[in-house]
Amino acid sequence: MVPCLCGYAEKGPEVTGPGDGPVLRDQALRRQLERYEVRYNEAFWSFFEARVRPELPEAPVLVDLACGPGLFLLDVSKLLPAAVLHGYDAGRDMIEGAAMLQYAGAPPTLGVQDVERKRLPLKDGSVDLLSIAAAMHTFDDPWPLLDEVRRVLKPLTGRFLLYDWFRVPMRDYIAQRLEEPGDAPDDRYPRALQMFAAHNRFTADDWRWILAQGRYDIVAAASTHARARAWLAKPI
Amino acid sequence: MTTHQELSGGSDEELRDRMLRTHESRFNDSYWAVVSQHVVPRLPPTPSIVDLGCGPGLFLRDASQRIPGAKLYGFDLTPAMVEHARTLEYAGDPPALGALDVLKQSIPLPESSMDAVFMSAVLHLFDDPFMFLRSLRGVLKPTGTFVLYDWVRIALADYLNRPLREAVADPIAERRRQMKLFAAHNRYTAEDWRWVLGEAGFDIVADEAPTAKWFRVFVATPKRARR
Repeated sequence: MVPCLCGYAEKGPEVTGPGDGPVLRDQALRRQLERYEVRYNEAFWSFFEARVRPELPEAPVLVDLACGPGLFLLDVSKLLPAAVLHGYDAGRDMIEGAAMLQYAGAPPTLGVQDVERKRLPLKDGSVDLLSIAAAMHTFDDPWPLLDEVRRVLKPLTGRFLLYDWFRVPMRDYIAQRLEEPGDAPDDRYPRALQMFAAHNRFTADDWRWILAQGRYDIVAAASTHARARAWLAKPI
Repeated sequence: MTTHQELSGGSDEELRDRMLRTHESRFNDSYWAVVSQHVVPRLPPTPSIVDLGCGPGLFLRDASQRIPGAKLYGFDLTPAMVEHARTLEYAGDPPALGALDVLKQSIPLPESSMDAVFMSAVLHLFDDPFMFLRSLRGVLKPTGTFVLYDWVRIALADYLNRPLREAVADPIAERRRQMKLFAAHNRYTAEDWRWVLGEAGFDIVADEAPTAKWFRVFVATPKRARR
């Protein structure tokens, strides 16, 4: 896994050593909360309403991988209160945070899970929508997960929502990061340099190629942020 | 900084041996043609030249043959590389060599003493290239030349499908290794490198890809020192 430090990898064992782990986990949690609004902005929810929701049944089974502190699940539960929600994350503190939220519908089933390497605790063909946001760019090999997603999605109707960063020129990335929340102003420049490689690992074309190699067709896509793109895909 | 060894999952000795095996394909006649055209004419008769990240010393050996009279220096993070460089035969005086972590230690050369600084396939590993380039400018003469030879970004499909220099025993393990390397090797586009060099106070006088489209030579000079 690439040490992204954007929050997802930061809660993994690669970064959170026993000495400074609690501080890093708190930072990661705070950063996830502050940056949630940046990623899940109006453009994203417009895309979700226009292209994702019409593909779903009334009471969909929805899984969020690398769910962080559960904010996406919380918002989905407001939009789809009958949904059966599941959330998995590598960070125990994230799952504990997600468990404390008040959901509009039934609370999600939550679990600590290394989603890059471990089989998902879900039955074959049981999921209507599986989402993963700002996490897959950290995976050294994304294709085993794409196979696992195919296994758990319902045949024909199941959908995969990939929401992740795509590459922009370095000068643009640095300039944009200096204006965004999530870090103290003095920390923004060094963190932008630190995170540049991970957040800019794949271009939009690379993501299309990854999905195609994983035998997925893209149903819809939209750039909802200057550097983030949502892809709705279905297994071929 | 993640080292080459950490990225590729090999030992110091394995990396050294791979660099020895692949040296000729990276520093071939096309590469040296760029140096001869754009760097050598900028050098004085007995230039001082340093290779930062010199590896097992083969570039310095070649430089001793191609740039006679040069006073050579070489530093590398990995002692096994430096030890190998000490065993080589050079055309002129052997280079001054040493183990050095350029991110933690200052470059042990006098200020404004180098006519040329060469750096090959190292700078892409640094999270903050600007801090290091400030140190580099410190040892470079105002009239000196910086030769950056490094990876530039290509599409993931092209990267994974490019011909590898060595046979692959386990394709799945190799794909995983290449995906890990992809993040480091494709950190910068050519446009990014130009921006980094410009921000760090360099003018680019040559910019070519002599050996492969994913490896580029940037010949740069400190701003306001162009001859």
